[in-house]
Amino acid sequence: MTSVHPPSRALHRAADVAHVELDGETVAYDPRSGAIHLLNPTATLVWDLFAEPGSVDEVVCALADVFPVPREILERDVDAVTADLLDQGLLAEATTAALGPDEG
Amino acid sequence: MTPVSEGSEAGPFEALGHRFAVRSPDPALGEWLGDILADLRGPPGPAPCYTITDRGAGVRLRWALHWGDEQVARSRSGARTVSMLLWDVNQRAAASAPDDVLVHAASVERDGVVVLFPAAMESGKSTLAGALVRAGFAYLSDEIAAYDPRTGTVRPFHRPITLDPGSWRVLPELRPLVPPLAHRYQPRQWHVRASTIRPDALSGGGVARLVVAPRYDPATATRVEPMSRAEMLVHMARQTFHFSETPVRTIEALAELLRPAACVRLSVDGLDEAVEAVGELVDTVTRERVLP
Repeated sequence: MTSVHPPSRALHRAADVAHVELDGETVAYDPRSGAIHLLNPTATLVWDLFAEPGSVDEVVCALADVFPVPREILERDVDAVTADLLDQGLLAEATTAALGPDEG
Repeated sequence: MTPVSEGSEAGPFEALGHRFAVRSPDPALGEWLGDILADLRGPPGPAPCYTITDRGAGVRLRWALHWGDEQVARSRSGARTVSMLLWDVNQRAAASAPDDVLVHAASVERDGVVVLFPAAMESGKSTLAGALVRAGFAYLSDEIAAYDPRTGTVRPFHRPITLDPGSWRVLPELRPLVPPLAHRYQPRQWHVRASTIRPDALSGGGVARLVVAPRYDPATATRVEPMSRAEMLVHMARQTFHFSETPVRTIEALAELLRPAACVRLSVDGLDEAVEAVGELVDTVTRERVLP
């Protein structure tokens, strides 16, 4: 499994992935591999939060604002989901261009 | 070459957007083709033509099928030529509807509920469609569900239900009547016009309210399992024509198709059990109960 560490590194949705949300789940199609992926509601939440470049830490913080769950559990779950999304090619390192001129 | 005589033209027909007539050298063949394709009859008027010709016994590949000036097939048998004609009609029908999303699926309708059965080729869709029509459902198609994103509806494609020999024993009453003079043209399949099962068997299409992923499993009892719409979308995407050419448009369209529909996986151990289960599911959807 791909390591998401350090949790501060910036990640982003992979380019060209077609996706649609249905009833809290997401279907994503990667044209590079031809694979169709089904993301459950938890993965969909994380996927949504990576619509803009961000780090695992930032995603955990965003979820902590909404879900009254111990932080270490959120970190564990977001780590696992993010690693899966990286393995499936649905997330990638955010490039300097994606980060913008002030964040590169 | 046996000349095409006047009076051996059948049609016009319309398969989705594919309008055609068929000229054949033998009036018995023309009459039989006109009969099996009758559910596709289109409005009167000129139509481009398939032409079937027979060069006679002295020519190895004596039979030819042309679409206009384009040769589609050559064959040693009239039956094989008929198979190629029906195959070509399917291909051109699929190509004639570029704005539709086409899914390998059987589709039927009852009480305003359109039911789709997306499944791979050779998985029993035609057999199931034939059995459901026999049981009182109206027929849209046994092979291609044409979803029009502009209207949100599934359009009918009333091609003859095509039954392989393996299905004949479970649907013996659907055996088509073939005129004796046309027997030599019949491929080793039954081509059953839905309106011969019941005169009112043709559906005009509509909104899909139930989508069923069928699975035949003789080892287990019939069971129904709910599927999420997203799960079903993944299943349907794999059965969609030309998915990889327009993936964004296709998954968006499939999502809209699925939004008003209940989705289930149906595992069955027999055809009668499948028909009964589908009937009960339609009853449920009709009563607008929420499936578990």
